[in-house]
Amino acid sequence: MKRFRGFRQRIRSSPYAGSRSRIWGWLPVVLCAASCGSSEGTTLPPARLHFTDVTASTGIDFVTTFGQEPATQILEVKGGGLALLDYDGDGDLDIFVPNGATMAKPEEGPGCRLFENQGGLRFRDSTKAAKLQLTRWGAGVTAADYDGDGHVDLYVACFGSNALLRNLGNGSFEDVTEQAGVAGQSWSIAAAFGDLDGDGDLDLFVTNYIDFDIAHPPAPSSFKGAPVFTGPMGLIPAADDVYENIGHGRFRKRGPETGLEAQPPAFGLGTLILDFDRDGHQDIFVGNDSMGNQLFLGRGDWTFKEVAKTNGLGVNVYGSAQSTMGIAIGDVNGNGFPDVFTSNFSNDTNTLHINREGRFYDDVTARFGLGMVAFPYVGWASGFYDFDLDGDEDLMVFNGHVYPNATCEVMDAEFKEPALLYRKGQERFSLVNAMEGGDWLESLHCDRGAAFGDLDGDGDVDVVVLELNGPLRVLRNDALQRNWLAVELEGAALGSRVRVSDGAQTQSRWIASGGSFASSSETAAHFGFEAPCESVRVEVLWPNGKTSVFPKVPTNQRLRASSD
Amino acid sequence: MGLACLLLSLGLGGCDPSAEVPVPESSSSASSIPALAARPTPPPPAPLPAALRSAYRDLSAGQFERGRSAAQAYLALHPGDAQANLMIGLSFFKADNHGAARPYFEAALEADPEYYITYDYLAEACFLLGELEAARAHYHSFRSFVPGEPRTYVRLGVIELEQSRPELAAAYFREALSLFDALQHSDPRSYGRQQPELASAHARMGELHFAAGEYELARTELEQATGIWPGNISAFYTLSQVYRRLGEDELADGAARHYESERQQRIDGGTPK
Repeated sequence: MKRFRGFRQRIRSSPYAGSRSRIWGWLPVVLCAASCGSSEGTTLPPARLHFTDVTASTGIDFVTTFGQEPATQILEVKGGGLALLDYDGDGDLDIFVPNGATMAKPEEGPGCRLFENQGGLRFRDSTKAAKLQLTRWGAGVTAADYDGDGHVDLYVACFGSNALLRNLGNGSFEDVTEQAGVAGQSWSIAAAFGDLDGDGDLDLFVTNYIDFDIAHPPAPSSFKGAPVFTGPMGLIPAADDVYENIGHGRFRKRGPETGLEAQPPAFGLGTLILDFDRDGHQDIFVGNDSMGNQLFLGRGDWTFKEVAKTNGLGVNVYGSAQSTMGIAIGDVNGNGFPDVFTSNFSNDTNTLHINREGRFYDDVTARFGLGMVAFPYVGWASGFYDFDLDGDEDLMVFNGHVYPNATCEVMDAEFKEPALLYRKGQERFSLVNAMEGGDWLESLHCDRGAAFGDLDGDGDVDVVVLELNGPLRVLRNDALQRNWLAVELEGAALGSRVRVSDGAQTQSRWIASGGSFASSSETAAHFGFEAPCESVRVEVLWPNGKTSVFPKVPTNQRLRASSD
Repeated sequence: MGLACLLLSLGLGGCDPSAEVPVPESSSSASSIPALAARPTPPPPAPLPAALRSAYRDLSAGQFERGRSAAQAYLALHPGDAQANLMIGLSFFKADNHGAARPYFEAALEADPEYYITYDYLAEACFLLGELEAARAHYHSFRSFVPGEPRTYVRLGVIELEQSRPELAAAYFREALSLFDALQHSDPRSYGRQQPELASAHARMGELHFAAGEYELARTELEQATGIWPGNISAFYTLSQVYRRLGEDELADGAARHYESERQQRIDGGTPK
């Protein structure tokens, strides 16, 4: 049901769109440059960074299942994520949750869930209607139209065989895993789609965690003197999988020729596909638990080179391999290259690496105020978004420990922890307290995945967060109505960069698959603006190398563009 | 804090903390460091009673639970005793349980606000619990008792760096280095013992320059850090990154190799960083 406040009207052509591009959106006379801050007498309300937990009124009454409580094995504490996708093509974002199971019956959990957006932040459980019957222990999910039929599909990373759920376009899905050849056999946590070979279709990367034998789980270990389950250290890491889309709904598993296997297997928990060095080829970032992170630079010919060991991205400034769970991409220093934020374990900081023109990554965590304030927290889903629509990207991080016996007295951290919301200032992120940001910041959870997107079509980015063995929560963004723009790309858009200039400032966003934690967020680029702004210049750099330019796009709308 | 002062402040004998390092004249580069009101030197703490001396020996030997039990037994007989509370706090602190240590440090200070060594531990516990404002306040309290302790300035600089005040952080690091310089002349033995802290001050300064993209300056500081104290292996890693950005790939590879081999040795030896 369409409830978007902004304009969303399709226009077939624009003389200003380059490279055979089409633009959809409300485009009045397009004659002059972007006009921000030029509206005499126009003022904007102050930026407001505030969310409200509206779960109770959404109609969503769902508690996830990930093993028993208290957890006794590492399999039970990683949780999973969720996807925001418009599965029924009605213009709004629906919610898909893979859900887990129990160690006693890992194939027979309560099953995945699909919540259809009915508008007004009301959702209806459409799992049965959509013929979704996945009951295997699921973790991560990524949503993309892998077969190019115009309908968004789902790939679910599971403990055991993964699942490719093809969207049939009639409101239902079909499990096509076997035909597609993307089952895998590991404990997979996250996956991402991207055009790794530049042939125009979406390939698939799956990050796997541990070779975990559920029939013979490892004996307990200890942490800070307290008894805990073992892992990941002491267990065997599982190698990641990469699949080439060979058309007709089929994939081929790629092997040693990629160079990926030259790297020893790692405890992979997250992945994200993007052109990090802007050389025209999509790259793969992998976040690992207790081991260095990896950046595989793609050459477009199914060969990759791991560079994180030398370019600074693999570890923090002290050389320490961290335990990366969450991944967020943003342009913190405004140089047009994607910077990388990773959320990590407690007794460690989260880390922000600034991308120095694709060659090096500098750990600037402390300088940007993102270090010690998060030291007690185990960080998971993370996202850079301009939540308050003031022209820069803020940061949200969800937390929750893995050890049920975690207390401040025993482990310097609690099992249930608050989320962290940071406001971006000039050269610093500052924590937003509950008085300003909302009561939800004081509630304690054991959160894992989260997906970000404009659920109610009001131009700001809302959040859906998943708690380990807890309720799915919907956080409504209460940003005041300032100028905004959402850019939605059609077709082979994953991996695109969107640049928007208001005359005073140029902002970059990336349309990426992966990130957050095990989740799939809305694939639109959201922008806010510091000053009153009637129109802006939009530039889309597609993964196929084409560029589309829209010199004067009115704000307060969703712009839809395609590279076709 | 130097070992002698630590012993004294615990009531185990040692030196006069106010006399260990002369208070430096503030330089222009450190002008933004807040001035603190001079505090009269507190009387030395009472010597540790035998039961707590035993507890301290246990803690020093890594027998944290045994030391804690001894201190707890003493505390049961002497409720609110500052030294016993500090010992119990230390038994947690040294086991990396800072959340458990904190209330004991606070209790020690409540019983005796002039038991100043406690501020140092409490500050570090707060820092490691992510409570930077509290950590800063306690370091300043400690500084008011022991104004010439270089390590305190390094810690305060790190806090300011976390607060996105790189200029003030640099001022603290510079002040620490200046204090080390003074210490070299006034107390060469103490200076010799504090080489790891001196290296740390240079390393922090190097990291500050690194984050600002000032790679030549970062190189200078990190080369000093690694030269002064090769055991500071993380400085080798950071230095390798600096070399790489400066196009010195051979030096970068060498520093990275050194870091990796030392790191592996520590892991193999059961003492990961």
